[in-house]
Amino acid sequence: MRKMKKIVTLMLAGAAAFALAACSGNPSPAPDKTEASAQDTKKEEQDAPKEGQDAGKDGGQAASEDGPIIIGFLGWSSGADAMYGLVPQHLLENYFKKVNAEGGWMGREIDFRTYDISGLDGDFSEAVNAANKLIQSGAVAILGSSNSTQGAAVAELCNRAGVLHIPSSASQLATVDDQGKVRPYTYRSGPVNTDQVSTMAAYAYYELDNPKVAVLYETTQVDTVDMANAFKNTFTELGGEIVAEATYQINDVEFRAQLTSLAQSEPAYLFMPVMGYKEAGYVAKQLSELGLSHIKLIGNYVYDTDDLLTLAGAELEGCIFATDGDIDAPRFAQIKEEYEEYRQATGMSLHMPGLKAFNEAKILEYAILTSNSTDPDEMCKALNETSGFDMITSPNKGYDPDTHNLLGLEFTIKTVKDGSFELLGIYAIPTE
Amino acid sequence: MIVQQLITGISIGSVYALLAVGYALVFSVFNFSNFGFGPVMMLGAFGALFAIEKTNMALFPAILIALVVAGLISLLMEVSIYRPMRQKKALKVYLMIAALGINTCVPNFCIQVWGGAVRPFPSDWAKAVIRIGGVVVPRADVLAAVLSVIMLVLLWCFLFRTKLGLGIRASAFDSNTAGLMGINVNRVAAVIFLLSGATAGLAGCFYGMKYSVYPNMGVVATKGFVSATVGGLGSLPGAVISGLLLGFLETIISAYVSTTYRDLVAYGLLVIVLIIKPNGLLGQGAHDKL
Amino acid sequence: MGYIEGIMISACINIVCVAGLAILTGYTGLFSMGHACFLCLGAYTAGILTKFFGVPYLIALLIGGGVAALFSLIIGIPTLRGKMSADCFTIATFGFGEATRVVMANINHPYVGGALGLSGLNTFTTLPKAIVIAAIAVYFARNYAKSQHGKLAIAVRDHADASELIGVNIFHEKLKALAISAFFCGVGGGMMAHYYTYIVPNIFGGTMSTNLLTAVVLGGVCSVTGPVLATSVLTATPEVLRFLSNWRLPMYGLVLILTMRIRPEGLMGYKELSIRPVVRWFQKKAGKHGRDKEVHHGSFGN
Repeated sequence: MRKMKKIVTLMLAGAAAFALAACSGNPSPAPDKTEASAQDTKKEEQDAPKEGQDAGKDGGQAASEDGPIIIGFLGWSSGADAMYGLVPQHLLENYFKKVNAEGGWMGREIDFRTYDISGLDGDFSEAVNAANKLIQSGAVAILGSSNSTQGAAVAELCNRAGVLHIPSSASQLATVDDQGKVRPYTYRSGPVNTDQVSTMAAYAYYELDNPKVAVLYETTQVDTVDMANAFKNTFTELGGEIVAEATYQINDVEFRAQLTSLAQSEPAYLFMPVMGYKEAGYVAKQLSELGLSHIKLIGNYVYDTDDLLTLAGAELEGCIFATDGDIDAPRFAQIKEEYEEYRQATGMSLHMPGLKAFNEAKILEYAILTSNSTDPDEMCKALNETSGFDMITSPNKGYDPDTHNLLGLEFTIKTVKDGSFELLGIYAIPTE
Repeated sequence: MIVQQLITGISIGSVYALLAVGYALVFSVFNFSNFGFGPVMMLGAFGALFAIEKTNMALFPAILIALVVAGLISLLMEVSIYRPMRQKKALKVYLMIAALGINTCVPNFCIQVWGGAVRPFPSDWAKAVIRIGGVVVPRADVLAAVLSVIMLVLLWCFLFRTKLGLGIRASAFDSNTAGLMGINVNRVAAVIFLLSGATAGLAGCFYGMKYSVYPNMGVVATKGFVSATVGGLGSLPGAVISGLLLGFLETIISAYVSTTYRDLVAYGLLVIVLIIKPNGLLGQGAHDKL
Repeated sequence: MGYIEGIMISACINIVCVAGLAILTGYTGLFSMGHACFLCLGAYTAGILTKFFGVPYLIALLIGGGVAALFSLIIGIPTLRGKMSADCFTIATFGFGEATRVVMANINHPYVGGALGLSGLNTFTTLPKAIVIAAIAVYFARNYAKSQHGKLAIAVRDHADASELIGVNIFHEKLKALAISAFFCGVGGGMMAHYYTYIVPNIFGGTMSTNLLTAVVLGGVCSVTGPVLATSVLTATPEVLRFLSNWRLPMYGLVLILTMRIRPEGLMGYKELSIRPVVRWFQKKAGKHGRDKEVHHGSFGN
């Protein structure tokens, strides 16, 4: 016990020292603090040359006025879900190469820098480091990420530093802060996920004749929780009924327990928003394994990838999902053709989240060329005042000033038939 | 419905049980938990996958290949990493950390080489299900159960009916003394790692059949470690029982409580088991392992 | 915030956590697979206190650490008792680590924010503060390790039975080490919350626990400064080696295996980084404070 006491005193002393050290800006001559300052000085000395090099290499912020336009891209480019970063990275690299070949924007070359920000379990430390680096090297805009947690963390930094940020993150959180105020420098490159899901809910209610729907979602990711709530709200407001609800955890592969429980309330459809296509594939497979293949999945834009069909094409028969465009439409023919070589080299197929990230370049292009400047405030003004322009996935009708959500987007509803995707229809966002 | 949940629980638990047997085997002799089983299991599954994809092999020879591949990789780990460390009399915690290193290195290396995408196990045989009344039993699970039992029986016969098995049991009792008595402990170790690797390979195949094959699939091996500990480290029947128990607990909690509290409740119960029986469910102290 | 500054703050945060974990794993030999949950608890406690109750930053950090230490007792008291195997503790930390993350994500109280996380925190963790806190953490961890407590911890790790015979209370020694490591991690978590200004439960996953453990092991057992050095290097390495970025994780693992294989006690096992050369250098620069410091630090050399 006496030893315990000693520790407590030790900690208290530490706390006192803590407070002292933090209050007085200069280290006082007490021995422990000199140790601190000694280490401090040593560290600073080690880092000083590095900083110098960096500044030399990047030319600092001042050079960005007429040097190359630095554009950063943050993508989830390694690990199990690498295709969500590598595919858009390839698309953007190709695009900027083309732009540079044609003389760049405003006669200035584009310096496109990509960063891998994948962190397992939604870790955003890599994203923050990369964004800091880009901001310091005078980036004109930061594109990405697709994950909303990382998107929100980067948005925080960009808005503090006043750098244009165009994420494809679909959650409200990326463009609107916790006080409900719009982040002035962050503009979304796709629809907000709740809108898309509401469209899906309305579709289910009207076109599928108000079926019994169950919901299965992951509880630790912002995106999936958002979507599940939006679906539940819209569907019940319309008069539909959510008959059952279950959850799973990130990286789960086993869903049979939940599916067996859900099946008890005999839903006709199962709404399952995902951020990686794997889970949807497993659920489809396990539903059919359990003899529950009459329960069809309702999904979100992440379902729109051929990889999902490879995993569980036959089992997904009849699944319905909302996405940002019809990838088979003539609109995407050229992109698809140019992408084909990369697909054969890497085995990663073109997917909708990737195309949504490609929108980011188009939005930036519009902002820079319209304002004829790379000043963040001028670019924001251009985006605020626009009444619409064309992007990769669809045209838009400008930005909502309160949320920086794109207006005038359409949603494509698709289904799986005979192991491939089929278009069901195109719907506009439900307006109030 | 409860019957269906029970079957699901057993089906998950059987993978845990197989992995737990691997842990228990190694632990019984060397008193450390080989966290490297995840990668071994993954490489076994990839072995089977590639064998089928490249040569259009039938399922059973492919499973055999998985056993061999996994066994050899486990052996390689023992010879190149664990044996030299043991000879240096390294602390147990160092061995576990080296294993953790393997656990980080190999799957991520494979992601770089093969990509992180999930691959469906290319066998139509395993996809079929058997229906008994309203209850569905996937054929892969039946196969898993049968092969696991066969494997465990073979293992038991080997341990209790052969001379080498006697050597292993002697080493499990006290590996230093066994060494003094003329038992080649290194050979015993090689056999142990080969066997435990093979069980991991088998587990990998079933896991691949049930879900899919991907570099990070070895994460599930942690559940095997948990089962082995709760079952009484070093006890093979204990490992099997607690593997099934863990699978069953997880299923029931997911189905009737919520996945939110799945880990909390499942691990809480397991810790309570350990508090009541510190040596594990069937652990019997140092005197009667295996 | 500058980029280098950001990296240095990250390094300082890791230093605080690793200094704590070094005592647990490096000295007591307990293997934790879920220390990220203590960062999570500390981060949320400190974040909620500063955001909603206007508690000063440093006090919030300390309370965050305290909460983490308290929760560590919940794991420690049942699992470290008596003749329980160390594996039971490992399982408990693993389970608790996963559970904390998931349960946090499901608390939808506006203070916690569920999966949305806690956003809009102030940037209280500035570089000078971070460095001072890290230095104090290292100082205390080192003093603890050098004291009777550290020696008892080693005794417990290497010869549990023998040390019990001479009257060491094994349970207390282990529990103390655990509580201290949880306290440090809680403080580190609080710093992290006020550096990122935004936290979600999913950051505090298994990867973070593994990374902390890697730093401790790589740095060396029975050393505080070794792991501290290691974590600084590990935080900076991915940035320096951007070209290797995709191979980072395999390299991490390989380094861990090689360290254990070649030098299992870690780079600085059983050694401390001596402060003397630095002090001498400092003496030359600013001679006037030199003398009393040398007396003070004299006892720190190897």
